[in-house]
This record gives sequence, structure tokens and C-alpha cells, in this order.
Amino acid sequence: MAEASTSRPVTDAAGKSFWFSGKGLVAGIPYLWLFVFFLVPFAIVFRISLSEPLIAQPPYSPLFGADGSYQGSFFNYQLLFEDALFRAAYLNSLWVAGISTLVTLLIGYPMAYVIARARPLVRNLLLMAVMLPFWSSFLLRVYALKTIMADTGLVNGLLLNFGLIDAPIRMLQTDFALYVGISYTYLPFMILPLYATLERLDWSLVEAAEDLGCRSWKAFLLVTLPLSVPGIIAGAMLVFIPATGEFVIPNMLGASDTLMIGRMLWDTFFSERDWTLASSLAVVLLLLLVLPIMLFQIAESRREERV
Amino acid sequence: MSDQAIIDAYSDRPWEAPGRHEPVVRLRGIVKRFGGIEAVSGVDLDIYRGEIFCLLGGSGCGKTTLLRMLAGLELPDAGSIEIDGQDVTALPPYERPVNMMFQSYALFPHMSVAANVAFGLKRDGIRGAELESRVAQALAQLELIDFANRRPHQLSGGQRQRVALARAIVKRPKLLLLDEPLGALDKRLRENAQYQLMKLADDTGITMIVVTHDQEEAMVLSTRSAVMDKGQVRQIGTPSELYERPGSRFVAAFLGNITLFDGSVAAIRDGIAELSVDGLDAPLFAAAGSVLAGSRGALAVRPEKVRIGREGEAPESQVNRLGGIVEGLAYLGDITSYRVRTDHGALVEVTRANSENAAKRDLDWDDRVEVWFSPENALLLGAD
Repeated sequence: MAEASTSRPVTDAAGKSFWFSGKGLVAGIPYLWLFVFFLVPFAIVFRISLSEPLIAQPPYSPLFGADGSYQGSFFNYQLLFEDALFRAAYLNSLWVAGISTLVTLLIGYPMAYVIARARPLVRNLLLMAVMLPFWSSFLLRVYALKTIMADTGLVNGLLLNFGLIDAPIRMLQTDFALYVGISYTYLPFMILPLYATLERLDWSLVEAAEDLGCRSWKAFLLVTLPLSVPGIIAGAMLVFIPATGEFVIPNMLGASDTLMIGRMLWDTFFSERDWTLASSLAVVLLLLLVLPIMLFQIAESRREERV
Repeated sequence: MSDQAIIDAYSDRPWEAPGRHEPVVRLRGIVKRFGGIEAVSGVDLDIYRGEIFCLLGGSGCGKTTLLRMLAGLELPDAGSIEIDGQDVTALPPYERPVNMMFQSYALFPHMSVAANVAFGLKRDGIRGAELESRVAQALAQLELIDFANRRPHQLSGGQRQRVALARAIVKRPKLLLLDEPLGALDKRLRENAQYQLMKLADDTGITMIVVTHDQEEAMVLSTRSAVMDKGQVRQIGTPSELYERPGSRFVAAFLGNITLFDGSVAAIRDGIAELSVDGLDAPLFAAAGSVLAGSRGALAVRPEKVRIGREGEAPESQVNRLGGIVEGLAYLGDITSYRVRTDHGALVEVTRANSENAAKRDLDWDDRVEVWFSPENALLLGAD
């Protein structure tokens, strides 16, 4: 916005202001969207987080007293930082999201690679297969996973039938099921940006590396992998960010004592009905995710400017 | 003359004494199919040390496929490839003493110019002072010292082309493959780059195989060229051989402009053939080549070998003469090009050096003219 007003005259030849010209309208839609659906809700959540809980409607104290004095405080944030349980929940969420991101990367990269290198017809079929799960409900898919991994489920049933095990392996309500669930759900978000990067990669670069003396794996390490870093970062963000706040999967597949910030948030909001603490939990989670990304992007754009 | 003297005398044209020289590259019966379609069908080639050998042809003629098979990026379905006496037919690219310059240059965008050039040397385990000096030498050879630390996208097209070349020669390959090396450069840059490439071949002694669709480029660069069509080599020769003595209509038409008269060979006397041209009463005469009397053939004559003048200006002794009308005229600076529609309906191209007619523009559109050429300057080609 600032750029538009400094780098070019505010009015064009016809005398219309930039924001009311066709260009301005088109450019304005995403800003409007972000304002209405991100900035306003965030402001509301932040405002609630500064209040104290009340048994009332709404269940939080007003920000300004009857005499107009400011009564907000960072009390809830103080509580968060002093409580070891919340700290552990944040750390565990980041950990679970990190592991899941790694798993989706390890599974998704080869898949994206194969898709990007396939013949156009096969490629479209495979891409379709990647996106097919989106056509059914997310909840339905998690339930399906539940039946597959249950003690009396498909996997245990097969293993028992073939006599490979004597008793069912417990999978549900373990971290294993949690990782399977998150990795399965978020895999397409890893594959698609990776595919987009790999598909655009100039294959002659790999041929050049081989021509200059690289075996295939070395050409991959020295050329393909470094050049697919933008796709890896994009995919990792698309998986890591929602996985950190994930609530449904840990609830349905994970152990009952799995500490994740999404569940804490749910419990605080719905069970304890403490809107103010839940809001501060959400704000901290957001900062935790947004700050590193912003720093990364600033560093990235600085690097690009240098180059 | 001693034997050695004979070898020396032939050394810059080794292909004229194949028994005395071992080719660096020997291709035998190379076939490559893509999905049932033969991209290359039965190519034999001998290429000698120090040559700049052009594979010349239109798109889809198989020249790039042939180059990629030499690099090891494609494997032939049949035939053998020998490089410097070693059978490399089944070797992967990283084990061949061959480097390639890609049409897109294929510079690694995440590496500096110096790192791009050093890439191949590092793969051979060359490190430290030797690495640095060889990279510096290659950069100096291509006037890239000032750009060593830049990334490829910060370079101009001509600079990128030189980086690609530096990267391909730094390993001192026995054979350098170049896929349309000058195709992406504009005309002015291209001329410089052509001479730079020739100088590089001379300085390093590296044998080069160049794929190009540009006949002018092949003429400038090559010691010899192979003209390719539909996966086959139609003719191999030096630029002047290909231009002056094309073996077929295809080669004749591919290199430069040429006018063709179809007809049947009436008689051959003293190496001169008499051709009754379709639709023309008087016969035309040309050097017979390998065409037999009684067969169909085509008389081919280059525009610069045809003379043009007003009616009656042709010498009385001239047997090949045709009347016509100037249908087109293009002033090209050094030459003027005329298109003459003959009375029997054929189109003849004539060029005339402007050293003669710069001041007097004596011929104009729709002028009645006569064109003529001597039989020695025309060639008879078989009907293929």
C-alpha cells in the first residue's frame, strides 16, 4: 500500500485515485479479505485476552470501567508463562508438528518427484490421486483411519489372520496413530508445492551435472535438492502451521494424555469456559508461528535484494 | 616424399586419408527409436582429432538425439560409439571423456560463475591450488574473470553462453558436444562468438561436435558438416564441398539458395550433360556428376553463378540462356538479389555484387531481361 503511494502518482491520467481505479479494486480485494477475516477476528480475540473471565454474557470483563478507565491487563499471558503445563503443551505441539512435517517431507518428496517426472497423462492421474482425499470429509477420513488402526481393525485383523502376531498391536490412542493421522491428512499440502517446484525444474541441469561427472544420487544432492528448497519450505509451512494447532486428530487418534495446544484451547474454551485464557493461548500460538515466518521472509527478501 | 611428409601434408584434412588417421569418434550403425519412431536410423560417422564437426539439419532430423547419445544421455537401440578407441556405447555420462554444452546452457542457478566452472573438476577430486588455477584459466580464456562471483541470472546472454562454454572445456574433454551453442545469441554477438569458438578449438585442440540448424553457422564454424534428414546423414563434407557439390536436391536446397530445373538427361558428352527441361524447348547444359543419360535429373545453379542483363547482352557463345521478366528485386547492401520469372514459368534467383551496379540501377521491376550461366557452374543432381 505504502509502495503504491510513494512509487507512483496517486492519481492516474484520468484523475481517478488508484484505489478507485480498476487496478485498485483488484488489488484491494485480498486486502479487504484479510482485513475482514483475519485482522478483525484477531483484534477481537486479542481484546478478549486482555480481560478477566466473568460468569456473565459475554463471559469476560469489559475493557473500560464505568468511569472510562482502562482495565485490561496481561494477566492471562502471565498465567500462561508461569504454568508448566501450558509451556509443555506448546513445546509438545511444536514437536509433534515438527516430526509430522519431517515424515510428510520424507514421504511426500519422492512422491512429488515421481509425479513431476511422469508422462503428462500419468502425471495428471497421480495428481488427481493426491487430491482425491479432499473430495471426502476430513472427519470421515480420520474415522476411517480409526477403523483401520483399531485393535479389531483392518491391520490387526490381517496380521492376526496370517499368524504374524498373537495379540492385536495397540495403535489407537498412541503417538504412532497421532503421527499417522497428521501425516496422512497433511501429505497433499507437502506434495503439491514440492510438485510445483520440481515440475518447473529444468531437467537439463541434472543432465549437466551428470555430464560433468555426477552419479545420479550426487546430481540429486547437488542440484535437484538445493533447487527444490523453496518447495520444501512452502510445503513445510503448509504442514507445520496447521499441525501445531491441530485439535481433531490428537483428540480422535492420540493418547488421552497427549498434550497439544489445540486440545488445551478447546478445553479452556468449552469446558472451563474461560474465554480470556483461551484467547491468550490463541494469540501466543499465532505469535509463535507468525514471528519466525516473518523473520524468515524478511531475511529471504533481503537475500534476494542482495542477489 | 617420405611417408611422414605425406601424413603431415594431410594432417589438417585427415578425412582424406582415413587409413592413416584414427578417428577420435567412430559411430557405426547408430539407431535410436522413440515410441516406435526412428529418430536416428543407421548413422555411421568418423570424426577426427581437432575437427569442428557440425551436425546440420532441420528440427526433428535426429541431430540432437545423436549428440545426446554421444554424451550418454540417451542410449542407442543399435550400433556402437567409440571415443578415442574406447567403446563407450553403454557407459553412463559421468564415465565418458566427453562434456556437453547445453542449448539452454543449463547453468546451475544456485551457484556462482566460478562454482559452475569448478563443478566438474571437483567431481574428479581436484581441490585446492590446482582447482583454483584451472578455474581461473578457463575463466580467463573466455574473458569471464570479472564475473567469477556473479550468479548466472546476473549475466547477459553472451556472458552466460561463455560460462557454459568455460564449464564444458575446463575438464579438458576428448570431445566437446555443443547443442545449438549460438542459437540464443543475437546476430552481432553470434559472429563474435563463432570466432571465439574457433579460436578456442584451435587453442585447446579439443574436438568439437556442434549441432545446429543454421547452415551459415555450420559454414563458418565447421571443418566438415554432416547434413541430416529424417534420422539419416545425407552428405558429409567441408562447407565448400557441400555448397559447390551437393549430392542431392535436399542438400542443395538446404545450404543456401539454389534454382532447380527438372528434366530428363538427353545425352552426356565430355562430362557435360544435356538436359531437356520440362516445358522448355532449348536444352540446358550442366556438369554431369553421377547422373546417367536417359534418367530424370535436376539442374541446379546457385544465384551468384547466374548472370543477368538486358535482352541480347548474353554472349553469343553462352548455351544456357533464358529470357524472362524481373519479378522481384532486393537491394541487400553488398549484393542485389533478383527473382526472374522465365518465359516457361520457372523462377530463377540471381544475385549480383553491387561493386558492379551500385551507381547505375539499370534493371528494375518488370524489365525484360535475359539470364545465363555456363555449364561448368551448374550441377546435375539425381531425381530424389
